[in-house]
This record gives sequence, C-alpha cells and structure tokens, in this order.
Amino acid sequence: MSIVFKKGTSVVLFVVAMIFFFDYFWKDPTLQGTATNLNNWVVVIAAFALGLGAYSLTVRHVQIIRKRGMLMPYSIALLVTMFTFIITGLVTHSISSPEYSFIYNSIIVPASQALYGMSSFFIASASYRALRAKSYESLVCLAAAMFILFLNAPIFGVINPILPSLGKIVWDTSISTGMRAILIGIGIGTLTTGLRIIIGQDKAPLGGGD
Amino acid sequence: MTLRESLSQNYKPIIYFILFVLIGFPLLHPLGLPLPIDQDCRDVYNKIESLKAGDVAVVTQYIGGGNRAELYPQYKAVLEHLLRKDGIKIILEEAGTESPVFSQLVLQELNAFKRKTYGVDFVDLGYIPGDEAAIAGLCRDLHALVSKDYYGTPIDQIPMLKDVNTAKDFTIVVDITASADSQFWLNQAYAPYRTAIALGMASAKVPDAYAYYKAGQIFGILESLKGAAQYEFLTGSPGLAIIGMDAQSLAHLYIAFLIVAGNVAFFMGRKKK
Amino acid sequence: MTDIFVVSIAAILALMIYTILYRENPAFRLGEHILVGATVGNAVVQAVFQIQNVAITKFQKGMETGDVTGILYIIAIILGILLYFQFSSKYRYVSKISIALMLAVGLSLSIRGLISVNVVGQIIGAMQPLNSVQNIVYLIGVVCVLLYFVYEKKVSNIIGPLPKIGRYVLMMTMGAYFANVLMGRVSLVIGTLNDLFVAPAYYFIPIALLIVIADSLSRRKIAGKKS
Repeated sequence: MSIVFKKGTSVVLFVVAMIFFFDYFWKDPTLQGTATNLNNWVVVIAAFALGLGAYSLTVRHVQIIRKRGMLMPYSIALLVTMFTFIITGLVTHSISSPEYSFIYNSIIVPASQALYGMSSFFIASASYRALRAKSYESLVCLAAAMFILFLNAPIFGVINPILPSLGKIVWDTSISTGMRAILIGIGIGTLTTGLRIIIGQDKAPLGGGD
Repeated sequence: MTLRESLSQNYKPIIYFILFVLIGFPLLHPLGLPLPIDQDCRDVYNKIESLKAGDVAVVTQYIGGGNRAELYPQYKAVLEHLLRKDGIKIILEEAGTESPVFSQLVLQELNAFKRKTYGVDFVDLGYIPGDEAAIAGLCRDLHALVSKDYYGTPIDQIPMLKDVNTAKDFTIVVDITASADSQFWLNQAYAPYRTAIALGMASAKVPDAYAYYKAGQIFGILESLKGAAQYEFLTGSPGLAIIGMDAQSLAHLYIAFLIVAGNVAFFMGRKKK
Repeated sequence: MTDIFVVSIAAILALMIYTILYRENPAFRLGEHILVGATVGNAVVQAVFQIQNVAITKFQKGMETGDVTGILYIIAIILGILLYFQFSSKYRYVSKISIALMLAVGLSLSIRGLISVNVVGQIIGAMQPLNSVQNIVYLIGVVCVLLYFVYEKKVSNIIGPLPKIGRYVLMMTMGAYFANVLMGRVSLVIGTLNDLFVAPAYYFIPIALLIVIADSLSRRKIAGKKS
C-alpha cells in the first residue's frame, strides 16, 4: 500500500504540473476547468494545513507540561492563549465580534509589533560595534547603506539637498544592477529546481527516497 | 574602571535609551520636516486619480501585527482615495490570517458603510488561504473560488461582482504586503492578463518592487512608512505616517552617526596599536 | 471601558517584550509564548472559517443541485484531512499525496509566471538603448553580477575582473537592503510607541522603568556581595 502511495505521489505531481503547464498555453475549456478545480482544491488543503502548526505545538507543549520542568508555566500560558482564541472565534462565529476583537487587539497586534520592532534597537547597537569597514566589500556595503539612509530620511535633505540626490543615484544603480540580477537568478533557479522536482529527480520536498 | 572602559562595556543601554528618546520625542512634538514626494508614489496617486466610474480596483493586503505600523497607513490612505471617487468598484481581499481584522478596522475608521453602499461600491471577500493558488484562482475565475464574502453573503447576490470574473475585469490591483504575494500577483495577474499592479511594500521588500517598477511591470510603489506619509500628503489626509517620518528622520540620523562614530573609533584604535 | 482594558493589556504585553533589551527574563519569555499561542489560535480559527466557506458550502451546494464540481470538493476535504497523517510515523506516506498536489500546483503556477516576470521582464528592463552612461553602467552591472553568480572566482583572463565587480555591486545592493530593513524596523517602534503614548498606557512606562532599575540595582548588590 505504501509503495502505491509513494509511486502515486510522483505521478500526481507530474500529471497535475503538466495540466497547469498545458493550460497556460492551450485555451481548452476542459483543461481550464480541471486546472481551476485543482487550484481551488489546493486552497482548501492550504486551509487544513493551517491547523498542522496548532497540532504540533499542542503535542510539544503538553509533553513539556507533563515533565513539569522550568518551562511549564510558559507552555501553560501558550496553550491557554491558543485555546482561548480558538474557543472565542468558534463560539462567536466571527473574527470581528467584540470579544474576538478584544483579545486580538490586546494580544496579537501589540506583541508582534513589539517583537519585530525591537530589532531596530539591536541594529542601532550593531551599527556602533559590529558594522566595521574592515574590507573594501564591507566599505562599499556600508557606504551604500549610508547613502540610502540619506535618501530615506527627509532630514538629510534639510541638512544638504545633495545628500538625497546622491542616495537616489546609489539606489537606482543598486536596484537596476544587483536587484535585477538577483531576480533573474531567482527565476532561473526556481525554474531548474521546480522542473527537477516535477520530473522526480529531486524527491527531497516529498520526504526523499520515495 | 575608567569612564571610557565603562562606556565600552555598557554602551547598549545608552544607545537604546537615546534611540527611544529620538523616536518618541517627535511623536509627542512633531518637527514638521519637509516631505519630498517620490515619483513611484505619485504614479500610484495619478493612476487612482485617473480611474473612471465602473472601473474595478482590487485592494489586497497582507497586514499583520508585525507590519501594521508600515502597511496599515498605506492601506488607509489608498482606500480613502478610492472611497472619494464615485462609481469605482472596490474589491477588498486579505492574504493573511491576521489581515481581515485590519480590513474591518479601516472600513470603520473611514466610515465606508455610510459613504458608500456595500455590495454596490465595495465588497470584502475576506481571507482566502493558499498564497499563489488563491491569487491564481481569483485571477482565473473569481466566482469559482469564492462562494461567500466576508459577511457570509453569497457572491452571486452581490451586484457589483456580476460582471467581474477574471483578472481581465480588474482595472487595477493594489497589493499591500510584506510578503511574497507581490510576486504572486505579478505571476498570476500581470504575466497572463497584463493587469495594472501597484505594490505597497514593507521596507525590506521595496528593492524587489523597485526592480519591477523600473522594468515597467508595475505602475507604482508605496515604500513603507515613507510611501504612506507621501500618499497621506497627496490625498490631504494626514495621519500617523506623516508624524512618523519625523521620528524616522531622527532615528536615521542617529544610526548614520553611530556607523560613522563606530568606524572612526575602530580605526583610531587600530592606529594606536 | 473595553478600550481601556485593550490599551492597558496591549501596553503591558509590549513592555514585557521590550524587557529583552535589558536582559533575558521571564516576562519576555511569557510575552513571547502568549504571542505564539495567540497567532496559532488565530490561524486555526481562520482555517475553520475558510474550510466552511470554501469547501463545505460548495460541497453542500453541489449535493443539493447535483453539480459534480461541487460534489468533488469532498476529495479536497479528504486530501486536507490526509495531511494530518504527517504526525503518524507508520502512515506518514499517506500525507504525501496532499503535499504532492500542493507542490505541483504551487510550482507550476510559480514557474509559469516567474519566467515571464523575473527572467524575460527583467532582461528586457536591463536591455535599454545604450544611449546614456546610466544605461551602459546598468547593463554592465547586471552582467557582472550574473557572472559572479556563475563564476565566483576568476576562471579565465577573458572574463577577468568582471565577477569581482559583480561582487561589489552585490555588496551595494546588500547595503541598500540593510538601510531599508532599518526603516521598516524603526516604523514598528514608531507604531508601538504611538500605542504607548495613549492613556492609560503611558502610566505603565515609568512602572516598567522602575522595575528594571530595581532589578539592575539588586543584581549589582548581589554581585558586589559575592565578590
């Protein structure tokens, strides 16, 4: 049975990918209908995938609580918060209900904003201690960063109007050269890796060795 | 321990405190620094300004708690502009699990339900999971993918969506995101249908977007808080973004000073040795 | 009244997380765990609503009207449930069919678009008429960076220093990225401080500062006694 499944996954991968490739070039109504349905099925599967994290997290943190170690209070807090959100959302049948909005606005918004934002303080201390122009490459990197700082902050235009203009030149040059090449590289890399996976040469995304 | 040694070991609290003050002070007492308008922001404004009655504007966002400060002001400013225009059909869509809350918040703050008629002038499709598959589904056949809007109304009962089926029917798409779905909209809407797309990006993704802008693949960009401030200025609806740019200026000046000071101290130390 | 509670809880949570700037401490850990739990809980709620709206509604409608496309949504629901076999060591292979479908659709959609947008579109963007210094510099820059991706070190005299120039161009791009990331992170601090500078949130700031100062002094005292 497992062999059927394992072989079947490679076949499914190839056939579905071919349907989408041919659909892009052939305007055949049957093909388009099939591609649309498969596309919409994936949207449904993606919704189920959102619950995988919750399951995995619950299992992990229940284990921690059972061991009664030092991290137990944090795991309890995590699970209590998670189930509070789930129960509130399902009972009120809406994420814009006053109850759900209350817990959402008090917890998720401020906490995630604070968590991501505090890295700016770390950047500030790194700017003083870690960002050293020890080589020509790092000098170029830091100089470019400085010029883009001149462009992004209006105050530099007040200090001297030439600073943002220099920043614009560096910005345009770095985007039109480096970023463009990176995007071309991403396109070609995705193409080669994607084709390798579709034809079955690279089985790592499916767990390898199948 | 000398003062120099003490500073050398305990510099972090000092740096954090100064940064905190430099960001916090302009929020309480705005400095009123001038705000130059970038061409990519102006292009977004001009394109939306040129929309006519009957045009369809899809505004999709991936705002979460972690990027709210950058993206929500952009979202609010763009929607305010669209709501001022008569006859534009606005389709809202959310790409992240945290995003629907911000759509509801912005509709409340802008008083959308009183200014326009829901179902005729604007509709909220809600959150559609699936990343690129969801966007592909929307562009290929909206009615096949979405059966109900955010409020549970069947799509076929919403008057403004009767003639909106594929990305060919979208006049413009404005994607406000910090995530890869900017790429997905280009792949699924621009590549096959040549839909006009503008991107409202978090700052880390602006270089990607700018490359597309330079290549003519998108018609404009709102660059992080700066873009939001510029858009607020253009629409005459000042908000947090314009005040925040003063704080940005001081923080940037401080970081530039730290980079220079750190390198000068490093090279002087090396010279002494 | 609810707003006061929202603002207060938000302020306490934000300050708990900011205490990491002082040092690793239980308040930060608690805030972090609460955030993770909340984010995952929110995702589950969204998933349930989406499964209802996208799949179950269409399946029910298909059963009522006899529409085959709607009835076939049961396959999507079953494939979604099969994903959870990932957690079984014995039957993990069952989940791979769902993963294969997601992979196939995702990859083929990406490849279709990326060739046109990233490869062809960007090459067209780079190949501007060479009637200005700017365009010549941009084209040479793109070629140098692509050569750097292919040839990291000098391999021939013909290509020569071009990959090295590409490396410097990439460093410039990385510098631009850094400056932009900084702008984004500062924006988030602006958002947090804007929320804190509202009554009654700003009352918590001096309380948090006092707790941090008291902890710092007590730790110095203990360190002084030990030495």
